[in-house]
Amino acid sequence: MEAFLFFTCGALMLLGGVMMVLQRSAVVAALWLVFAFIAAAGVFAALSAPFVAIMQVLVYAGAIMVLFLFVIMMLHGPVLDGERKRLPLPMWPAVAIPPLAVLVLVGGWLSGRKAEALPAAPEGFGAPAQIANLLLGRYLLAFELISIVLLVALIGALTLGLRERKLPWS
Amino acid sequence: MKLMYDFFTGQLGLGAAGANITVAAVMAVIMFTVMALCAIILTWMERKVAGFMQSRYGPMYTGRFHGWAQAVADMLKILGKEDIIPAEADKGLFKFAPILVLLGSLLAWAAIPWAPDFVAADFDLGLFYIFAVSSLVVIGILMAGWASNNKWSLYGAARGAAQMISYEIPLALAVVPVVMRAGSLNPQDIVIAQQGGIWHWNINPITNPFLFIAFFMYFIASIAETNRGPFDMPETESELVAGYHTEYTGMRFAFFFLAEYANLFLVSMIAALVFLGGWWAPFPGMGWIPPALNFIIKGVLLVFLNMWVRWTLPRVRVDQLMHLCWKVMIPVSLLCVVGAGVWMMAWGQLK
Amino acid sequence: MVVSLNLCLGLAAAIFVVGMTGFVVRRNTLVMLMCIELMLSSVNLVFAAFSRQLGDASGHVFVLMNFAVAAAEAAIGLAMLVEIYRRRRTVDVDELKSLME
Repeated sequence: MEAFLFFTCGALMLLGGVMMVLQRSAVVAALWLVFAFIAAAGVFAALSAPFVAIMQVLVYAGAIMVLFLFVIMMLHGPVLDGERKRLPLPMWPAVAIPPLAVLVLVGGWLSGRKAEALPAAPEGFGAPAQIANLLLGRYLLAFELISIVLLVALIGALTLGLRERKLPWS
Repeated sequence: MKLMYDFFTGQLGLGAAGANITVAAVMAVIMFTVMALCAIILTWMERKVAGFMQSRYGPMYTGRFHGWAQAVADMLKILGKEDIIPAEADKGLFKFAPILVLLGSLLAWAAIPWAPDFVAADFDLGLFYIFAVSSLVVIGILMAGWASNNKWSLYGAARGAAQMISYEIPLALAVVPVVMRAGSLNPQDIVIAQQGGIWHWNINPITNPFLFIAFFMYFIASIAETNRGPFDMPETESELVAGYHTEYTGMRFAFFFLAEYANLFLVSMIAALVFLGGWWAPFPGMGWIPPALNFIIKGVLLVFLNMWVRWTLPRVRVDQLMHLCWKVMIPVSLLCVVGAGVWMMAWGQLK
Repeated sequence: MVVSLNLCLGLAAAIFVVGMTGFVVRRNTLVMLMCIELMLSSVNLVFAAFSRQLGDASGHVFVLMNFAVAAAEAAIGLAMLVEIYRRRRTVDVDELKSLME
């Protein structure tokens, strides 16, 4: 069951990523990325990280990608037409990197075939209670710092987004 | 669930995997049927309630008794309509969007416990899962608005997405105090924690006044989350024709329609199980009522409340909507979380 | 067919490389930002895999931190993009090279 979930969702995530890169339309690319992120949630579930899996759907598919789609729709036409003229300008990385990806995947596959399976997860592993204990215990400082990062990002986005510079301090 | 599983393994001699798959398939069919039925019944109810609020009768002819067959007739009419795809639309996305919108609410329905041990997907993060998958609806709405290639659709979709991702925050925050009280994210545990009559329900203001406030926060946010009046900005018929489903006809429109009522009933059911004691009867001695019936009655009463609000209050403006969410509801919900925690610590109710 | 650590790392690396390719090849800044998100997501897979291997949920905490970083990055990146679009009427990186000339 676990292996089935991992292989299916892993393959789908890879597919989503590749399709995202290949799509010319930014909207369709964003939707393929949503697909990849939902598949990633499946991979997390297979790695016995249920809380992270649901968080992945909530944060990526529910918030970040909606933000992307929002901006794409706001900028509309020019964003879509931009790349229609010519697609891959620097050809050499386009030629060099995909074989690298295949190589990496095959390498992981070959070495992974003989390697032993991941150990079974203990009871309550990755449950909200355990994560909460870590987050508000051992990693409290990191938790506080990340909240400051989010606050700064919030203020920064707001400042950048204001059309007229009607800030109280200017 | 256990019962059904035992039936399939014992009586029919299926293996564990086969029984699990069969149970899942049976539950999926049940859920989808209930969902379709609820859409039909709620459409009729909406018309009757609207009529009642406006001192008229509503549908009276179809099916003789109070026009009970009106919704069925409507559905048949919708299904018989021509399926039009605009020439300039992005065809693939246009076809896929209604399915995604419906999928989001159907996935969330899977984790609703109707009665003790009668839930399609029973897992510990159930409540969290419901909020996560219902956020997929937003993507479906944006897709529909974009693919239609119509400015009203796009405006409707942009408004809908902004509104839904904003109101998701107070919606989720309002549920947090209840999760703190029950000490679990599993909907079944949350219901079981409210056993024993109306005064044990989470809404009781004497046990914890902050949970009482949280219920109202949840209710207001749920109206906005389902895009219904007075917060129906995405489909304001006087400004945007019909919002993101302007270009949809026939079966695809029926999908949006189904999803709207499925979502309405979904948020009402969550409110019922989180704040109103789920399947428990309100008073002792009423144990003869089947648990599922209790639960459905609570859900339908909340839906009625929702319709009452919709047909009573005038529509708000977009800026008022955002003001309400970010400057009133989110701070109040956050206060509720803190206040409920402090209250529970003070009275030793914390698990 | 078992899920081994190497396989998880191989999958994560492949996804990272896909994201990297996209970032280098695509000229649309929006899609480039999406590729960065994909790369961040592949790092999350590594965290989750090692977390499972070591039986320590700390990795999950780091994944959550990474979500916050990704959200902050997307918010700031998109806000900058909108501002650039307002000034230059384009989001194509080939046309945004005034610092180069």
